Amino acid sequence: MPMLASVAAESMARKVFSQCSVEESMACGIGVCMTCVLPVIGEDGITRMLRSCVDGPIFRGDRVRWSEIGTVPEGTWGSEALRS
Amino acid sequence: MTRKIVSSGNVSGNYGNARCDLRATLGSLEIPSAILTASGCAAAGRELDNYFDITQIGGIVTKSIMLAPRSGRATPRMAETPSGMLNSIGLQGPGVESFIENDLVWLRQRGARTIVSIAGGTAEEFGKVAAKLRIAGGFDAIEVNISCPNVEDRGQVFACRPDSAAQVVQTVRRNSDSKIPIFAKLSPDVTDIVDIARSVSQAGATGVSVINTLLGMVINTTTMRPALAGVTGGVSGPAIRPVAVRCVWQIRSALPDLPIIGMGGIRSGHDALEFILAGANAISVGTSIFNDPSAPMRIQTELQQELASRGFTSLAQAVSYAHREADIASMEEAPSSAAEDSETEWDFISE
Repeated sequence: MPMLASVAAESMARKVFSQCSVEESMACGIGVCMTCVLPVIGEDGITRMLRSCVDGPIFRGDRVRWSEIGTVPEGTWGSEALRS
Repeated sequence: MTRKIVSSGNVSGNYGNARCDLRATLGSLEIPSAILTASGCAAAGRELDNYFDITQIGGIVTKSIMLAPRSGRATPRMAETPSGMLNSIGLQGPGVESFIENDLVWLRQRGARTIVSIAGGTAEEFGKVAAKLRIAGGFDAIEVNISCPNVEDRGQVFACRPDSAAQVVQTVRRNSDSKIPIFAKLSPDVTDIVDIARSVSQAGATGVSVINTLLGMVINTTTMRPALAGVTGGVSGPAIRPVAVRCVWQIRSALPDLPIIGMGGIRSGHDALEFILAGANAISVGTSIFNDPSAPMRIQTELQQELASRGFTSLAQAVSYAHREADIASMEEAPSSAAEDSETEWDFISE
């Protein structure tokens, strides 16, 4: 994952489009268990916890919030419900 | 004594083609097969429909839905254990309105029987979710996931106290169509699960779903920190099956007429049969789906064979069958002294 993060960062710095194939720890691998999620910014600018198995595994390098993998970043869709 | 339906021999001559009526009646809910999915292990059915025809099993129990959209917890959300796993997902989901518009509509169009699992942080939230579902309609039953922390009571889990469990069930009952069956999903992490079952039954639950995960914890020895971001998680899989069978047995012993959906580590028809014999009227398949997405369908076929090979022509005949007195066949296998005792007793009765 740090390697993918570096590739994405380097691409963004050089204004080059990048795609990264991520792999998170999974239980089912078919989209039912919600284990393998990571924060990804959608086209609407909203961050969602997306499943790497079926929403990915390939995401645009500039859309994954690499440094915040393993967290639910502030403002993520539906995160208020969990924090309240 | 209904011993005549038990056969030690091969009834049909071919177990593989043996037919057995798998219909189940859970209060007012009648389903053509007693095999359901377990909540949280089948999402809302759409993904599994790629692996088997979801209309061919008893029904889909959807992942617990709450009032508002919910991101779920941080990762890691899963840890593996011997014969099982822990999860700490945090009920990630789109909220009940999106669920109704997308998932429920799809399930209805697909023709799948649907038991909607609902969750909440307060009894009031459970009630609001039920009220929205009532307006929407288009599902067959509600499962109330009372294994949620009560935000108004220091995060105490509703399922762990008879009064708080009953309060949630009563609120859901009041906010639901009176014809909709309601099942309370019970936690095994209690002193006396029968107490909770009795309490939710009196509060208006049609039946109970037994069991939810057991609370557990794993330490990552590399980071020397808890393995799950949520620190604790729910243990599921074959490791918990004996606990689940025990819970079904205890509830069935105390409440002979209460509909029970049994679950906990079922990975084969053989495992499913244990639950049925212990007193479950239907069963749910959960964690097994993660390594075999077609598990519910496979287990349905296997259970039919397991029942037929024992001489049962319907699943209903096998429900609670393990609760009967030891039958004559096992007395014959008993030590000779015991056999003599029983003969003496028989002579006495015949006089």
